[in-house]
Amino acid sequence: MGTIALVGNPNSGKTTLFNALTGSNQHIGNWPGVTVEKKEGKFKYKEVQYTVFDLPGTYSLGAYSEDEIVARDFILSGSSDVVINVVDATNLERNLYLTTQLLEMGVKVVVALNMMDEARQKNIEIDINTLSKNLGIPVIATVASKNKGLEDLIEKAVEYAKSGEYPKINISYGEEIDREIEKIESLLDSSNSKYPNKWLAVKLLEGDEEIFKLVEKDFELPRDVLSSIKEKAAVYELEIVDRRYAFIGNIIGSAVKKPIREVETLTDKIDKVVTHKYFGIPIFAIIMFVIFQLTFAIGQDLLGGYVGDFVGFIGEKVADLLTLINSPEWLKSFIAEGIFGGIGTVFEFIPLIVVLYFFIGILEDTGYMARAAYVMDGLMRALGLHGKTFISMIVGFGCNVPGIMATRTLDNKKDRMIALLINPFMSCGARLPIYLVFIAAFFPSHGGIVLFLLYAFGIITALVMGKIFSKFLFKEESSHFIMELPPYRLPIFKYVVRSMWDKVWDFLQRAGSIIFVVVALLWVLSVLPFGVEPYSQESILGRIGTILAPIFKPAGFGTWQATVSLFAGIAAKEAVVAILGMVYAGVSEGTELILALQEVFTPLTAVSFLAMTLLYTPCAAVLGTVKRETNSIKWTIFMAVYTFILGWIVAVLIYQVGRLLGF
Amino acid sequence: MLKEVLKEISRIRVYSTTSIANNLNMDEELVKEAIFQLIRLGYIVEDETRPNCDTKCGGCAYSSICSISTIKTLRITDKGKLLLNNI
Repeated sequence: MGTIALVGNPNSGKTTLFNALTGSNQHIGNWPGVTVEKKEGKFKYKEVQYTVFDLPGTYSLGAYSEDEIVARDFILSGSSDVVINVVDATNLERNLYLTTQLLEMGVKVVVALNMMDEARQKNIEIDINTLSKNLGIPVIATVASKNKGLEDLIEKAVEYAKSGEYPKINISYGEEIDREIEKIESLLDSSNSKYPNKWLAVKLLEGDEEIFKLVEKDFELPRDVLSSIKEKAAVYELEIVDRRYAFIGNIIGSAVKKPIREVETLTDKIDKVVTHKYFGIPIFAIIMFVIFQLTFAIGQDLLGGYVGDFVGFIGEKVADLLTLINSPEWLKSFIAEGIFGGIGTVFEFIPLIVVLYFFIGILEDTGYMARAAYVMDGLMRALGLHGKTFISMIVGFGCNVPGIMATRTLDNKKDRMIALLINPFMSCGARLPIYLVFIAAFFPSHGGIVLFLLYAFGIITALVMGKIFSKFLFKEESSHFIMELPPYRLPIFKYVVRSMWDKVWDFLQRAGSIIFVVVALLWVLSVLPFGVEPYSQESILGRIGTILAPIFKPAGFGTWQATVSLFAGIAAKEAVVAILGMVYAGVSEGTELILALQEVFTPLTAVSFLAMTLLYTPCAAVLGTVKRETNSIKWTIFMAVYTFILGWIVAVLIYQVGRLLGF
Repeated sequence: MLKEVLKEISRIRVYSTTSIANNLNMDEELVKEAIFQLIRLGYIVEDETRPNCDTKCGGCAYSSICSISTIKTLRITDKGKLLLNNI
């Protein structure tokens, strides 16, 4: 009976090999004292039974994780006759790092050079004999997923385990470190430890905390000696890792041939244009503009009408059914005006929202958004803002809640607070129905431009407010960071479409529930007290709206209906359109919301209302997140109040200046 | 190798492993390795700005309609800065 340990990087095919060797003859448990999974299996080879341990996948045998410690303790315990190191042939640099550490331990290692089929597909040529010679241990080519090479591997592993051979490779860490290793070795009395002294010395010079504890316990080294080693470790740690890679480089150099990489890739060529110092921002603006135009071209003309007709058709049928079964008037009113007049209005804009996010999804999937963040980075820095702020702003275009959560990656308080306070100016998806209904009512032939201008206005306002906050509220220095520009890739349409469907379904479920609650509550207020005309100024809702409406008179939309819709929007932005739909359906029954809006708004007051909805107090979910993230009621109230005041000032300015100009 | 990559990271504003490999005349796989080890050893930190919509969005209807891309950034830690000062 023999024992074999399988060790390798995560995703190297180690578990596939384990399954191929042991089949169903496996036992899964836990390593003692830790939560790391222990997999053990058995197989027979030439009538001899072997036990195989599938050690946790790890990149290194340091002390940076439980997985690393479990794997190295098992190997060093001598519990296995041979270690099979599963190496991904397509990523030798990374995988051989673990191999070098196994060699340093002096244990018997056989390399299973796995995924050889994929390496061939990538035109990576590996001379197995040279690799084996360079490493000083057996190397066997395998494709574990296809059971290829496993017979050879086991034969070689068994043969090597029985032989008296051990790895003889000696990695030099440079004269200075090698001298230190020798010095430390001489201080360690080998009778006190089950581990090789040289390995312990290297680990100490790597600053391995676990080994420091072990040496302190087993060898009784004076504290000043250990402190001196720790000081040296701070300097040598990187050098040791570097030397291992140099060793790997030498091994690979003569054994592996890779396809010659293009010096300038297609990604580099595209980036030269889209991240250009002067053209980068205009290109970003053009891309967004084209997306908004396409959204209207496809979403409204091709899809919008059908969904609207469908919602109307269902509404009619439900109303007919309620009449047929003699249901009470209040229920008919609630269903027809509350549900279909309110919620149905929001649903009519789903096609546009879906199309917009489909295009943004494609843009993101190509890797362009990182470029957008990069080209904006220069502008952000010029305004005294942290470049990462724009990344959280991009996230905020979907929903301000994750946008605010994304500010967590900003490590200094100034940068984070500014990014957090300006995030709600990013037009989230919930504001889209408001924009879309007003665009349909007043600017139907310029939908793309108006939507683009609204998004751009939000970004500009965020930058201006960020600059103001940076100058007057927070004055710390920004920290430095660098951004990864991943290679471009073609979007995978299957995933984009599937993700789009998930979003639609999620919208239908969750938007329905939020709007339903808000609409139901406000519907009750709009038909009470009994005896008043429903949806009239005499209803409770009408009276509340009438009291608050004068606030918005200077902005040109001081009606009680607009007022209650804006305040309902603080609960959830999509409620704005739902409430407008409900209260205007009540005013002029049978008239669609768009026609009703054309009667009470002008293009100028529509713009002023849109500016208000873009800038004013974010929804309750965002305020809740601000409270959680800042742990401060003060900043939450500040966010709610300053955005409201700013929205109001901008709306008033638009209306008053517009009037002076004769609009 | 690791020190060179760390120095390069401290010098640039955006990176791709290709650009670092070209600038340092290194194999791209080794650059990926160097970044991996620098992160592992705590000289740099990698932040992934990906919206976490599993978090409670307070019932936000649009919580799933958010960015699907991940924008990765690197930040040099105090340990990394200390090393850079000594290079």
